[in-house]
Amino acid sequence: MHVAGIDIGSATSKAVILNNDKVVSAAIIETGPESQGSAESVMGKTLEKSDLHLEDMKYIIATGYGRINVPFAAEVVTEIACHAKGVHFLFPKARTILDMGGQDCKAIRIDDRGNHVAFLMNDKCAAGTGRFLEIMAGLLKVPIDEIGPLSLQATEETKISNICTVFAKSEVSRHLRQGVSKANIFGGLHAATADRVYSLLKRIGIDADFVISGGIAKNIGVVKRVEAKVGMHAYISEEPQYIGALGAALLARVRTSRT
Amino acid sequence: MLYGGIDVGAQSVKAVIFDGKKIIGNKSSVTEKEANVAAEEVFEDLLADLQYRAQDVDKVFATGCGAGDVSFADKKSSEQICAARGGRWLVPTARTVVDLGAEGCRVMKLGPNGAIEDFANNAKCASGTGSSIELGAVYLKVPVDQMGPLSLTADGVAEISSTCAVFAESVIISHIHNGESRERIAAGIHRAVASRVIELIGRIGLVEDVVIVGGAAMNSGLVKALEEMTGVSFQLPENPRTAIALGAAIQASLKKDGGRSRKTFNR
Repeated sequence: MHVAGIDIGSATSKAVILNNDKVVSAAIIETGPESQGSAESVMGKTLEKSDLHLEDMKYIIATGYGRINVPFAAEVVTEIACHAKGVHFLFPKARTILDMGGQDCKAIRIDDRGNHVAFLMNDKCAAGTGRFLEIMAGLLKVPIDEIGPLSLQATEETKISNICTVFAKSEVSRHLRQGVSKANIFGGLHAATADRVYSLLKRIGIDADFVISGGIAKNIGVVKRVEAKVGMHAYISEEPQYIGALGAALLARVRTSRT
Repeated sequence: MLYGGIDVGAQSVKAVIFDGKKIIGNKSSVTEKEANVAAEEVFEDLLADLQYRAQDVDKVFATGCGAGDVSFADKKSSEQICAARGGRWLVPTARTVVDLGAEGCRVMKLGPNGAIEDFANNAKCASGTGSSIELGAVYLKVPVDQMGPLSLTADGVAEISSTCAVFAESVIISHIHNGESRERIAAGIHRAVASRVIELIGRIGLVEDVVIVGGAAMNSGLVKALEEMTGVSFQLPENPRTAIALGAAIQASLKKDGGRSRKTFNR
């Protein structure tokens, strides 16, 4: 029996199809200006990959920032619950999750059954979210997937004193004009990001195992610095961006098994 | 006696010459140069316009985020005090001074005699400052000084979040995709900034008359949004951009200390 989870994030949309406990298909696209169109296109892509049809889906749960704009979903569930389920499925011993997405950052504590027991979130300020680093990558003209490794080559992390992304942009331009290396600037920008997310984690309390999910989990520069601050190894799945959609699909499976 | 005031802001440098009773001249210039160089250039240009020499000016006070870099200034004065002094001088009945700049916003409550009773500040977040209007203008493809007039012709307001200027960008892009008019989007941007300014004013309490100074005060759409949302009229002085530099010059005229050292500016 097939079920699906769909996660309409601010930057990317993801869908996962499960057959019992097995992922049979998954896809990711950039979220367009309109959530509904993005939902239809990512679901279509996921179905196509597995030769399945929307009618084959017994139950679909939508999550993420654009979750209310998914017309074919039977139910909407918060990202918090979905991330908790998705992480618990992949890492049963996980107790603390840092989910860093395109426009928000969440610290989530979960119990031994994958239920979230506490969470804190920043969705009010671009600092400490993917958007901050994305803007800086654009400003310094470095591809987004290269900024993390580059930041680890810093000989000295340039202190970034502005928290606000807009103001930090002028500060970074100034550093660049003064001849500071991109590696050092990215070192400072990644350190600033790690500082921001660590303050969220500290407020919620950190228990082992510690998992990082979301798009920024693919950025080694952030991961290394967060690990150093937390003093713990971070478990990261191979596809950290799919965890919300996976959790939604797992919850969809639970719904069908009850009926 | 002549007094100089220099306001080194995030984007522009402003200078005013004041004789203790009236404004002799003022000048502002957008610059990317180092604060000290830019300040000297603007001040020298202003003096040249007025056909004065540097030594004719008895005292110069500097203010703004780059005040510390103005080596020819005799003294620094805080932006709060200078904005309050300048605003009050321009509108003598003012009890609230709103100073809205490119990268900061501050509001001061004045007592009946003009002394600062309370103030609130936003210098950490672009939302609620002129820079978020500039960001919006880029997406609407209009010069920033056209944002005000553009929004005044709007038949409504496109909702834009006031929490973060960066996140507001994605909302603006969605609005454009959804066919919202540029006028309504511009009105929404002004409302978002105004709501943050009003939040600051709310912390100190609004007392009339209100005077608005700083570069963003020249945006008619923003002033209209502030007036509509508070139900209070905002007095807009002539040359609001140089009001803080004026305040610095007034401070220079009032303070007995900090006489000119003439070390660095005489050339």
